[in-house]
Formats: sequence, C-alpha cells, structure tokens
Amino acid sequence: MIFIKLLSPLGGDFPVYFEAVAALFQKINPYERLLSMPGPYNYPPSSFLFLWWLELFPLNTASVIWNILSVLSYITAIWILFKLITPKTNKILFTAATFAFTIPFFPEKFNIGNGQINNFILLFCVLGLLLYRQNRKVLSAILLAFAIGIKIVPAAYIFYFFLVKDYKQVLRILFCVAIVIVASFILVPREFQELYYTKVFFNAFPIEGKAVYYNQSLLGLFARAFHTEIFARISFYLTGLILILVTYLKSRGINDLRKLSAVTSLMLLLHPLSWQHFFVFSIIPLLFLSISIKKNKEGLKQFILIIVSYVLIAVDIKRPDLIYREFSFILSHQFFGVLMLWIVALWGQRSMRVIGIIWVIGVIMEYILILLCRGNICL
Amino acid sequence: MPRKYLLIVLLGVSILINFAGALTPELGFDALWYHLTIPKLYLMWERIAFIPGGLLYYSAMPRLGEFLFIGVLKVFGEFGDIGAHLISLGAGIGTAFIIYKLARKLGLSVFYSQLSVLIFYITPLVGWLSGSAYIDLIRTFFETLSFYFLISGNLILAGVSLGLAISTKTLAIGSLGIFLAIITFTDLKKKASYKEAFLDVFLDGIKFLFPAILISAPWFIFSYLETGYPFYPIGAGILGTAEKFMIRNPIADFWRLFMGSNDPISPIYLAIVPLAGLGIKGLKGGGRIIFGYIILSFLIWFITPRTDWGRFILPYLPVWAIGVGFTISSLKDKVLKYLMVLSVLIIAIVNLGYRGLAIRRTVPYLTGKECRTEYLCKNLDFKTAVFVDCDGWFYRNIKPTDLVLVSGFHNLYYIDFPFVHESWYRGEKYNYILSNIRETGGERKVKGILVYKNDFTGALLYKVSP
Repeated sequence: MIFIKLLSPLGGDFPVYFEAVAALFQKINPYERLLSMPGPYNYPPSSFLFLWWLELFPLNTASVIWNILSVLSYITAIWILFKLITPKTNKILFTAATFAFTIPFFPEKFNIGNGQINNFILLFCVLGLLLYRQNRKVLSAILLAFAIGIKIVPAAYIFYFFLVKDYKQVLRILFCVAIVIVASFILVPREFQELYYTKVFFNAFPIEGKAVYYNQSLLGLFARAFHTEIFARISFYLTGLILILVTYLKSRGINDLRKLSAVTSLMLLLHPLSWQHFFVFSIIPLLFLSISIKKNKEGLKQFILIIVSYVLIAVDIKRPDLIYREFSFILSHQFFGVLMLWIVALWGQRSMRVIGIIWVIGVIMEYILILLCRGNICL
Repeated sequence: MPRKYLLIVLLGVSILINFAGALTPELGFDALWYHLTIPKLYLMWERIAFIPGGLLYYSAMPRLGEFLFIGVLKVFGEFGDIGAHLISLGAGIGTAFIIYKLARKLGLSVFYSQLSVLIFYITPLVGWLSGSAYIDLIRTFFETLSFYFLISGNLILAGVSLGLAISTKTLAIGSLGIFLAIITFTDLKKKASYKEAFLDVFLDGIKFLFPAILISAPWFIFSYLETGYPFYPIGAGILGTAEKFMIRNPIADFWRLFMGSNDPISPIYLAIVPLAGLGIKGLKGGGRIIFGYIILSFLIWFITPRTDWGRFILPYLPVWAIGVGFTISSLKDKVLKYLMVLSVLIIAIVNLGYRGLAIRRTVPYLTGKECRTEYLCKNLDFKTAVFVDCDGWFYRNIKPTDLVLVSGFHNLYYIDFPFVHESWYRGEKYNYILSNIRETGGERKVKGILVYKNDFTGALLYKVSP
C-alpha cells in the first residue's frame, strides 16, 4: 500500500530529478551522465524551471514534500476533470473516482512509488484545458507550455486545438513554449542545452530497450511482437500515421470531450516510451467517456468497454518474464485498454464493430506472421 | 467471377495440390512406425496378430485404417504407401462433401455451405494428412458421417459410422458422450414432460449405442485377450507423461491450437469467437445442436493427451467449420460479415500458398528427376531411427533366405528384406544384425564382423559368426 508510505522517501525516479538539479547548481552537466540512472538526465532543460526548488531541501525532506504534492496534484487533477465535464461536481462520484484511480490503479501506484513527475504534468495539462474552457486562453497556453517544457509529450494537445480549429491557440502555445525554452537559459547554460538537443533528445527513437514490459506504447507492442527491428519500426510509423489520420477525420462528428479523450489516448499510444506510470493520463478519457455516454442499450455496451479498458490499464503483471513469446501481446494490456478508449471516443455506438474489425485483422496478421516464420522469414 | 465459382476453384486447386502430395513416398513418423509397418508385417507373415515387445504396441489398438492399408499394400506393392495416401485423400474429399450436405441440411445457403467446406478443407493440416498414411482423416470421415446421420434422424447408421470411427482410433470413444448428450437434449426438447422424454432418450440411446459398440467391441476384446487391457496401452503403464489425460489452461490451449500448432489449421475459428458474442440472428434447432457439439467436443479435446494438437481436433473440425459458416451468415453487422467472408478467402489463399511451398520438394520426384530412394534419403530425418537402403547395398546383398535381427531402428516400413525386430524376437535364427550407430554411439561388440557401415543413415550391419 504505497499511499501509506508517503512520509518516507520513495522510488527510483525522484533521486534522478534531485541529482539532476544538484548537478546543475554545481555547474555539472546532467546531460552527460548521472549516478542515479544508467545514462544522462533525459528531460528537457526547461524542466528545471519546475524542479529548481528541490535544491532548497535535503534529499529525504524533498522526497516527502514531493510525494505529498504529487498525490495532492493528482486528486486536484481528478477534481478539475469533473469540473470540465459538469458545472457541479457530484461528491459521491468524485470520491468513487478518486478511489478507483488510486488504490487499485497501478499507473498511479507506480507514479507515487517511483517518485515520478507525471502527476504534476497531468495537473498542469488539465488546468490548462479548464482555463481554455473558461476562455482564459493565454493562461491556458502558459500552463500547457509549462507542461510541455517539463516533458515534451503533452505537445500532443496542440493537435487537439487543430481539431477544434483554434489555430490562434496553437500559435499561443508555440509562442509560450518558445518563452519557456528561452527562460530555461536562465538556469541551464547553453553548452548543457546543446548536449540535450543534439544527443539526449534523440535517445527516444531507437528501438533498443523499447521491448521492456513497462513500455506500453504501440512501439513497445511491435518491439515485443516482431523479430526484426526494421519491421517493428516501419510498422510503428505506418500505424502511427494511420491513427493520427483517422483521429483527424473521425473527430469532425464528435464533441470536445471525446476529441480530448481521443487525443489523450493517441498521445499514450504513440509516445515511443509510454511507461506504465505515464498512463495516469488515461484517467482523462476514462472519466470523460464514462460520464458522457448515453444511458441506453448502446451506451451500456460502451460503458462495458470502458470498464474493460479500466481493468486492462489498472492491472500489472508481476512476472512478465513468465509469459511465453507466443502470448507476448498480453504484455501490452495497457496499450489495448487505451486503444479501446480511443475507439470509443471516435466511434461511440459503432465501437464494437471497430474492435471486431481490429480483432479479426490482428488474428489474421498474427497467423500470416507465424506461417512466414515457419518458412524462415521471421519479421 | 461469381463468388460460388471462386470457392469451387479454390477447392479444386487445393484438391490438386493434395493429390500431388499423395503421389509421393511416405515420410511421416507415425506412418513409418506403425500405420504402414503393421499391415506390411501382416502381409509378410500372412496372419494378423498382436506384436509384443515395446515397439508396436499399437497392434493391440483399433486398426480399421491399417486393415484398409493391407488391401492397398497388396495391390500397389512397393507403392503401397501411395495407395494409403489415396485412401486419406479420398477420406478428406468425402468429409468435405458431407460437410456441404450437412450444412445444406441445417439450412445454410449454397454459398455459406461452400464456405464451411473451404474453412475445413483448405488448411495445411488437412493438406498434409491427405498425402499421408495417418488415419486421422479416415476417422474424421466416419465421425462426420455419423453426425450427418444423427442430424438426419437415422440413429442406427449414426451408431454404425461412429463404431467405424472408434474402430479407426480409440479416441473416438469421446464422441459417444457428445452424441448421447445431443440425443438427450433433442429428445427432451421434443416432449412436454421429462417422464415421456426419458423413454425416448433410453430407446434412442440404445439405437445409437448398440451398433457403435457392436462394431467397435471386437477390437477391445482382442486387445483384452492379448494384453489383459481392453484399451491397451492405456492403463498398462507404458505411456509417457505427454500421453496422459491432463487438465491445462483452456484459453491458452485454444489460442495455441489455432496459432501455435505444428500443423497450422485456420485462425478463422479464433477470429469468429468474439464476433459470435456481438450478436447473431436467432439460433434455432440445428444451430443449437452445432454449438452444443462445439462446446462438448472442445471439452473432450481439452482433456485428450497432448501428443499432438491439430490432428486430435481434426475429427471435430467439420462441425466447427459449419458452426463458423453459420455464425458468419448470421452476423447482424454487415461490415463484419463481409470482413469475415473476405478473411476466409484470404486465409484459404495463404494456406494454399503455404501448402504449395511445402510440396515443392516433391517436384523433382513427381517429374521423374529423382527416384523413390533418392527422394526418401534426401527428405527423411535419419535421427528419427528410420531405415532406408539408400545405396542399395541391402537389395544387392541380403538374400531371401537370410534373416536380419534389427536393433536400434524405430521406423521399419522401408525394410524390404527378411527381418525380425529385437522387440518381438523369440529365438529365431538370424545371420545378420542391423544396428543403428546413433543409438549405440559406435560399433557394437557382437559375435560377428562388420560388413556394412553407413554414417548417413546410421546403419551398421554385422554378419553373425555361425
């Protein structure tokens, strides 16, 4: 029960942030190498605009403060999501959601247990979306830009503003991102930044290390499924392109909450290194879709799909090494959970049909790949 | 091209490919071990008997298929294995025909009935079995025929057919339970009260069971008289762990059956499962029986020893294929329906391609560029303790009056000289010992001299000192 250990130092990722900040203030380049992780610090230089305060405390104290703030951020984010859906938040629903997305929800437990940063990014993102809804677009852009500055992935929400055709907001966010990058030079010297943008940034793209169970993205699925790197990479880029195109085309007939759900799901699916703790973002489509579906027979089918998605995202396989290679798709359970959410967001009542189509195509492709491998053409 | 002709063309191509495969010499392990060897020995000895020792314990089991092979071995002589292949091929085509008639009887249209045939027939599993001397297609033919008679209401002929299936392979006994369950279910549905139905169930059960038992019982009586076990070797303590009845993971096994089996079947059976849950239009009479059969047969397969995967589910696949055809035709969602039909066609073409590539090694033999012996010696795996006279030495040097004691070889079908195997040796006077270098690890210490050695086949021949 990780939530009762908040007052003690936790996790393997918080020391990375702490050491990176400490190194920075000692004028050591964190992008060369850190002791607390195998390789350099891999967040952008603008992340120090958020992390700098860690330097004010010793490690253990900073860790406890971090844990408490992280949990509070997460609960606040859930509350804000409710605000986005309805003007008046139902307290019982809010309590139930807070429970469902904490105690049994592995991505959040992983976040807290590892001292990860995702709860803060989630808060900045949903706050930015709420401010946008309230027509405070500049503030919204600033917050989203700040989130992008910490971890580039929330830049996916720029796609959302394309879908709602608010191109001015896109420009505002890009402008704010530029400001955030420029501001980061106050803390991070040019030489340090050069190393990040020329080397560290590109570490996300090679396929080495992407097949680990923790990587629940599309790339993780293909890296585990295919024998050859080139085929996994081609399949990833091709499928990613198709997913983006389909999202763009199908989003025309759906409301804003579904658009946000689709974009959030897409972000989780296509990020090359979607580690399980990053799937806290799945609470956005899970909440939006479950509360907004109609109370009828078709709505019930969608609700069942959402429940199934929740289960697939919430669980964790303790011994992934025990899964046979022929069943390696089981290791991508969170991927499939979010894929279902993406389908429900875009297709609504027709979700079952789409899932059926994907299932049939998936089974046929798997069979053909098995036959090819029998003929010594293992892709 | 009208779609029905497309299906017929695909079936025709498949039959042609399978026919080509049937014209080639036997390579299958079990066929060379006992399916062909036992009838060959019966012809050699001019008698039918249980063959004691540890090698041919299957000679105590039901052997209707092997008895049919006696006839073709006699007629075709050296090419007896081709004759056996043609029996398997015929059984496969016969099964396909019965599937079509059964599907039509159950109310499927011509197109979906043909589709059901396609699903069953165009698979690598049916393909290679059609060109082998295994007896699984013969069993499948009789089981499918039995189900056809059951649906037609002819319980006596259903019992006869299932009796013949059990006479081909002991595992068909499991189908007795399936058929009795179906008869019970059908009779209960017809009558208003259980009391009235009970008499019908009893009488119909007798009509079905009596011929089935009458026809299959002699094999088990024979086995009991020879070995003391009616279902020998089951219960005799000589089977390995893989050959025992066990409970495993049903979902994992179901997936593996259609995706991970050594002999690919078709993924359509897997693909259709969730779609069936999406909604199909009303299951009436025949449809309910089909799905009841599918569930019961899966349970029977599930507890069957996992010495093989695809072959043991094969006898049930004809009805499964009709179930798939039924489900596809009944899908409410038109898009999914068309997708499934397209998938069946794609898989059929993929399987045809796979089968076509698999038999390309037979082309030199079929075109006369390779002789029979060359083909065998090129394609057999001699690590499986099979004997073939690759260089013709035995043909030139062993006389009909000689007797060779064979040791260390398991698959004896291609032995064409007088021999006795060490497992059933009872003191006969032999003048040669044939040994397998892969079993002994080198030359043996025998009272004789080494007269022949072949590192490729592993054969060592010693002439025994008088």
